[in-house]
Amino acid sequence: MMPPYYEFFCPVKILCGRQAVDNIPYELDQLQARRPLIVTDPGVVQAGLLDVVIQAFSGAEAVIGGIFPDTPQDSSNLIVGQVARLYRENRCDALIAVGGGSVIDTCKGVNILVSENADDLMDFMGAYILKRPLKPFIVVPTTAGTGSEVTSAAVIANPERNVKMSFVSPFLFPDVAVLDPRMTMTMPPRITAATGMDALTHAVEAYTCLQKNPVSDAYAAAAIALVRDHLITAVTQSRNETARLAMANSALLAGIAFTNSLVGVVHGLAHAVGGVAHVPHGVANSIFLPFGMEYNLGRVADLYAELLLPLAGPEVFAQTAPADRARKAVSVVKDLKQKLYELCGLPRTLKEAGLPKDKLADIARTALGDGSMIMNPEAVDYDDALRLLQAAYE
Amino acid sequence: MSRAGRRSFKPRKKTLKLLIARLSLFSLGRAFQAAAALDQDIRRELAAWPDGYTVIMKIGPRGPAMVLVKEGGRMKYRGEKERPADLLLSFKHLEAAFPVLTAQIGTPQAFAQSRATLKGDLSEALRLIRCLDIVQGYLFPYLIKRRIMKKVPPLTPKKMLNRGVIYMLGLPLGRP
Repeated sequence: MMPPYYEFFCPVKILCGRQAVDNIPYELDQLQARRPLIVTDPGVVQAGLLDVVIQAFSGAEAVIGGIFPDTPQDSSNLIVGQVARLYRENRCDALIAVGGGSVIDTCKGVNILVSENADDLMDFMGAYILKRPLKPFIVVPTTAGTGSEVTSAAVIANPERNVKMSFVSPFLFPDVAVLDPRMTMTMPPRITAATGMDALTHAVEAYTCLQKNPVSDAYAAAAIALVRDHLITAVTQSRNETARLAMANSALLAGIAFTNSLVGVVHGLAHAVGGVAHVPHGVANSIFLPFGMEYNLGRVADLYAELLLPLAGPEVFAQTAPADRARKAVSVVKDLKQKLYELCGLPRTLKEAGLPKDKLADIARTALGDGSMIMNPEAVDYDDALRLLQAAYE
Repeated sequence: MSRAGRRSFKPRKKTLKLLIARLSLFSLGRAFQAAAALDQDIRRELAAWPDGYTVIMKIGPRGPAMVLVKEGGRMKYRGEKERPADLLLSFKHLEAAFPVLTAQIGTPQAFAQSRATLKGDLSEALRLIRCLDIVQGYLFPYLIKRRIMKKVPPLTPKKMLNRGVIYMLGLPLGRP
């Protein structure tokens, strides 16, 4: 079905493949930048991945202006402020994020401050507030899940004011996303599984939410097919370069899809579970995905039926009666969850994820405040959210 | 100069559409004020906002606006005169606003079609949207609600009474 009107935008240049990281100095030159600040986290440093990026500058005209290696798991305005100060003190002119969602969001926040010459992110909170391009920004993702390298949003906590600041703007898109198989090779199986399911959830929700459009659908379907073909291999054969690159592409494609079509109830619940009980985002998405699909079946069964093709392949699609395809799609996702649990212990339920049952009411209330709920095809109120949480509990 | 050269390049003013949009914002503002006083769900939602909290819905950079301000614990409609806002919902232009203000499409579709921008805390914006949904539930008949809302809430006797008050006192007189 054609929407009456839609907008689609993805200006990110994508570099993908062997030695992709080595192209960074060239891209900086194209962006007329000479002194990038590299922002990363302790895990990336420990895995030796920062060295891969540093080595890329050997013989380059660009010089690394500084490195911030201490980004925590949950980004905050305090960290953003620290990084912005380092950027200014070191007279940097570009940002390179090497890491996962938290590092990338931190950099997006820093870019706002250093480009607008400001100190308070709260002034820019909201959607479409930024009015001009930001400083050159390159992202090297080290997980294959969040897709933040191709999204126009960032979420940064403000612990002093007890607010989660959301920023949405086309100017937040990075200039370049660099997918290099070396950067995801060291991901342990369980994180590979969780981030892979994160990518799958992005793609499935992008295909079924209210802002969907033909362009985002194409990206979403491609992402799902890559998960179908490569996630298990990436989990079981960590040094398989093809599988790693395919999953990185899956996350990127799903990211492009969902940044243009947004997401729904699965993400609303996952964000809440993450905020209240610190369940990792990919784990939460994996747990909720089939439940969210079942919840939405009444509205978008036809879309889930279409998704059976990328989810399970042409043979299964052809052999499944049209009336059964939607439910079959849900069961394919459940089977994948079960398989991942058997392979690496990825939690299937909130109980397996260690969530105390007495938190469910709080989580349901928090989930209602999540923007994702607006774009879900089916209305969700407190009772609905609580029922979903209870269903996903054990 | 040729006839083509003498042609005016000024766009026509959309007087009727502008009037309807202005009337719609006025009605929405008055209805919101009344519903916020009568409906316990809206009261509960807006309890989180301090006095002075200002919400503005406007059309384009220079179009009509609806200003709501929390005063003395109650949301008050304060006309069109803009002031610094905690939440600013701006429709990009009149054509973006018109289908929303005339109940041809709902709020989720409005955002899905990128008709508006939002400045402020997104979680507070969701609070506003939930309240707007409730207000729409009072304003519109079932057939329209079914088209623009994902789930039409049941009209309880209390809500029917509230609706009567909104139509008899809220819209024409700006009460309660």
